[in-house]
Amino acid sequence: MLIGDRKQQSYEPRIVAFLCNWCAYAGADLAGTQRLSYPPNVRVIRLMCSGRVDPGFIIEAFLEGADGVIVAGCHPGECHYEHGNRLAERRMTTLQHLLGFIGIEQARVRLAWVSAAEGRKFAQLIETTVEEVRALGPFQQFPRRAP
Amino acid sequence: MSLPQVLDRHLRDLFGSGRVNSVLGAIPTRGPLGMAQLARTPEEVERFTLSPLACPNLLVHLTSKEARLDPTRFPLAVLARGCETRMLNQIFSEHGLRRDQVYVVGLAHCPGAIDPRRLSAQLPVLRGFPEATIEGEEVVIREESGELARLARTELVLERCRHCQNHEPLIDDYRFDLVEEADWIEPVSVDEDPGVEAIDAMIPIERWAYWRSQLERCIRCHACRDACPLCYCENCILERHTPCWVKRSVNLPENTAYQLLRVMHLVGRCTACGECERACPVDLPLGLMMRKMENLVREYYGHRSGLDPSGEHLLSIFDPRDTTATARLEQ
Ligand code: SF4
Ligand code: SF4
Ligand code: SF4
Ligand code: FES
Repeated sequence: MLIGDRKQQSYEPRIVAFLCNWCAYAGADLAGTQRLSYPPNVRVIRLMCSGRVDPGFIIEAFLEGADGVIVAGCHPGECHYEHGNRLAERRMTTLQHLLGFIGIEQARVRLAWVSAAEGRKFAQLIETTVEEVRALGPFQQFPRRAP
Repeated sequence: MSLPQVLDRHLRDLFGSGRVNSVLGAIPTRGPLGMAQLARTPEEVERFTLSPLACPNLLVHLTSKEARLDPTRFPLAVLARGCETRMLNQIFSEHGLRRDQVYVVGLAHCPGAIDPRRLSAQLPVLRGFPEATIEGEEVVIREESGELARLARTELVLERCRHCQNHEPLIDDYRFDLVEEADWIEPVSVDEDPGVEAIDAMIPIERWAYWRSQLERCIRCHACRDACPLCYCENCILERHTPCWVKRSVNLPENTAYQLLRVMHLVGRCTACGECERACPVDLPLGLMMRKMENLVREYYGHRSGLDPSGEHLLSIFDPRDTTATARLEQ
C-alpha cells in the first residue's frame, strides 16, 4: 500500500518501477553508487526478469495509487532468460493501448531497456517519467482510494 | 423451420454410425433470438434451425465448465458458421479441445446472423416464434400470421457479421451451403470501425468520461466471461481469492480492473465475436474494446486469431519487428 500526501498543491507523482534483477536493477544500483541524483518519487520492485511482469501487476499498481508505472529490463537480445524482455514488449504494448483506449494517458505506462552499465540512462528515465507524470496530474481514473 | 432434409439425414447418420455422442445446434425461441441446444438422440435433431435469428455463438458449450464436467457429450458434432470455425481453430491451437473431439458441420456461404437488439429496435413486438429469411439485401421477418416486415440486411446483422472475413468455414468435416449463391454483405473494410474510431478520436479525458460512465454500470455478473467460448480456464483469476487480483466489491475501480484483466487474457485470442457484449445485461459496449484490440494486433503484429490451428499465442512469441511497434508508443 502506498501512502503519501495527495493534495494537488503538493502533488508528488508516485511511480512504481518494475526492474529486472540483472540489468535495470543493476543500472539503478549503479546510478546510486555513481551518486547520480534523480527524483525520489520512484518505488522500485525488483523482479528476476521483465518477462515476469504480468499486465495485472500494472493494473494493481494503478489501483493502489500509482500515478505512473515503469517496466525496465535488459536490452533486446540481452535478457538473461533469453527473451523474457521480448515477451514483456508485446504485453506492455497491448496493455498500454488498452489503457489508452479507455483514457489512461500513455505517458503513465513506460517500457524501457536499461543495462547494468547505464546508471545515467536510469536516472534520466526516472526524471523524464516523473516530469511527464507530474504534468498529467494525479492518477484519478480508477484508484481504490480517491487521490 | 427444421433442418433441410440432407443435413437432417447426415446428422442422424452421425449418431447411427456412432461417430458422435451429441450434436450442438440452435433451436428457435420466442422473440428474436435462437437458443443453443445439445441433441443427445437423433430425434432431437429435428428441432434445430438454421434461421439467421439463431445468432448465439454455440461454442461456449464446448468449452464451458458444464462441458468439462460432462465428457460424455464428446465427440460432438457442431453446426458452425465461418466465424465459429475460426474460433474452433483458436481453441484447437491452444489445446482447449482436440480436433478429434469435434465433428465440424461447416455452414458455408453465411449471409449473416441477426442481432436481436437491432431487430428489437426496429420491431419492438414480435409474437410467437418468428422466422427470418435473408433474401439478397433484405431480411424478411415473418410471424405465424404472415409477413411482418422487410428490413435492410446491413442494419440488422450482428456487428461481427458487418466485419466478417470468414463467410466460409475454415475447417469442416461436412459442408452445407446456407444460401445457394454466395451473396454475403461486402464486409466493412477491416480497417474501418466507426465505433472504435469515434473513441480513438477523443482525447484521454473524454475517453475516460465515456468508459467511466459505462464501467460504473457494470454489476459484475461475470456474464461476459461466461459467454465467451475462449474463457475456459479452470481457475479463473477473476474469481480467485489468493492471490486476489480483483476484489468482489462492485465499484468503479474494481469493475475497471475486472474488465482490463479480462481483455488482457483475450488479447490475440479473441475473435471479436461479440458474445460478451451480447451477454451483458446492462449493455456495456465490450465489443468496442475487443475490436480495438483485434485491430491493434492485426496492425502491429499482423496477427489474426484462429486462422492457424497450430498457431502460437500472440503473447508467448515475439518477432524482431516488435521493437518498431513498441517504439511507436513513445511518440
Ligand atoms: S460473422 Fe460471418 S460467418 Fe459468422 S454469422 Fe456473421 S456473417 Fe456468418
Ligand atoms: S456482463 Fe456486463 S455487467 Fe456483467 S460483469 Fe460483464 S461487463 Fe459487468
Ligand atoms: S468478442 Fe467477447 S465473447 Fe467473443 S471471443 Fe472476444 S472476448 Fe470472447
Ligand atoms: S533478465 Fe533482464 S529482462 Fe529478462
